[in-house]
Amino acid sequence: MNPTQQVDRPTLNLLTNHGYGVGFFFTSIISFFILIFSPTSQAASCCGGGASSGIILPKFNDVMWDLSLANEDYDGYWTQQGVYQKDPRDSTLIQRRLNASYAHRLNDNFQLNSNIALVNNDNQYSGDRNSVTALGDMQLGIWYEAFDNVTCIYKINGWESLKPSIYFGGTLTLPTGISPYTDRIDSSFDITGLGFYRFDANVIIEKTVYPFSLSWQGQYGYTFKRPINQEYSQVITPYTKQLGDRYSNTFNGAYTWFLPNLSMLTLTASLSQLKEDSAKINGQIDHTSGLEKSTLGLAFAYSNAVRDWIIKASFSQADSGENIPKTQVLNIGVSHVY
Amino acid sequence: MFIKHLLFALMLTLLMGCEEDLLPSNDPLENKESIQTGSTIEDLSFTLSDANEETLSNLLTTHDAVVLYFTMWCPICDSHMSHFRSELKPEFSNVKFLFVDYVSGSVAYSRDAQTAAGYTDFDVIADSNDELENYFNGTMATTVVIDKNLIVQYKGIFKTTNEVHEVLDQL
Repeated sequence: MNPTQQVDRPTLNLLTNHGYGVGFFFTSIISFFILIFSPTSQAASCCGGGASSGIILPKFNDVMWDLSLANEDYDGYWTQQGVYQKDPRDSTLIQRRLNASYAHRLNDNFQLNSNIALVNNDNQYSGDRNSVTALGDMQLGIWYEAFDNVTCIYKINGWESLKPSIYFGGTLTLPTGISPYTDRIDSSFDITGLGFYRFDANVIIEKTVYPFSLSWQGQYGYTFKRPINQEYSQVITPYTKQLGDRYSNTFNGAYTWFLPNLSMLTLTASLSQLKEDSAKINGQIDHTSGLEKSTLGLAFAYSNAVRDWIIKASFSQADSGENIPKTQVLNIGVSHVY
Repeated sequence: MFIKHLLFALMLTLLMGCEEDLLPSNDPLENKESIQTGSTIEDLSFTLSDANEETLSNLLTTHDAVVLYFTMWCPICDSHMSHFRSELKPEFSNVKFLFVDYVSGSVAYSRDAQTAAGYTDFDVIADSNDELENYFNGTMATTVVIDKNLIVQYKGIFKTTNEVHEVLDQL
């Protein structure tokens, strides 16, 4: 198969600015970001593509690299009660991310991937201007393809032909970005990373019956507890903190056009839901933390006739949430497979 | 080969100064700030978002303590401030809670932000010239508890209401 159906779609990562700052923006801490943080693309078919936690190689390719540029515009936030609040007057909060991803096949069923982002926070907040550029968090991932043959079909021929592609994966996030817990930060506008190690377990189930494709991705994230002895460059009494477990669901529906020159164009619509439990501070629940977010997205992917180059563009917008900023993400990217 | 590339990338990451978060520590650090818990501060004056001038000493004639919380009107700040409203303010009527807006560029901006965020039931300090921000080295969620003798009983980054609650209980 080929990566033609690879499309961008809303990532499930938290803003690296976690809740503005936490990532303020860059938190929820929000705690904000995600944040994070943030991987690039998402599979839209059995033919492979990216995922919120790392790109996925097509079944019969050995190497893929992916470059993408994301522009995330912050437009107010939802309170812990889910009430929308506008940002202060004359505020413009933007995070730009240059993502570089690489995937490498180990054998017929296993593949590794990595992702790193260069993050730029460009903010004007109540009249004050601030801009910082730094490394974001890094992800290392592995995928297991629980199928041996391509499952994309053009026509249904009995129950056997309805067998989907199933992927199981794990992603480790390394806190290489600037978090609130270092002395490399002057304000919450500087945050480019979550500050925690996190492991995400992922499963993707997808089925393509051309020209239609449906997929679901489930994700469970476990953040490792860490000691903290400074916040926002201020010395504090040391304590331990652990962010809450994270759960997400993403549903994708795609339609593919086969163009006269043998290239392909795929349109994907997606709905993502994300929930993070409350954090724990010294083992006690932090009732000011935790978040929820629902995001709608639309993505286009164009691949050439040889299927080794893919150009992608996507737009997503959070439409409801709790304790998290409302954002719009515009993403453009290019992938190449070997 | 790929593993070698990964290791190389990790080494680069370490060399780029990311080891602070990659190897987090719970070793206590020396606090070199001039204002910290236990410090005696001067009588500070400031402008509220309604344009009125106020001083710490004046507030402390009618209250047992003043609590300052540095806000930038963000989701985390809102979460913290809502807990000030629901858990701390009702229980400590003898304490004056003030939010310090250290990001807005003018009193009018502060007032707008306060109204938009729904915190008109609190007094907000419009720290337009960053005077309190610089004096306390304040940043998002910095919380300061000042007693009647102008002694800082607590200064830290707000985590939960427990820390502030414990300090106020002892006053």
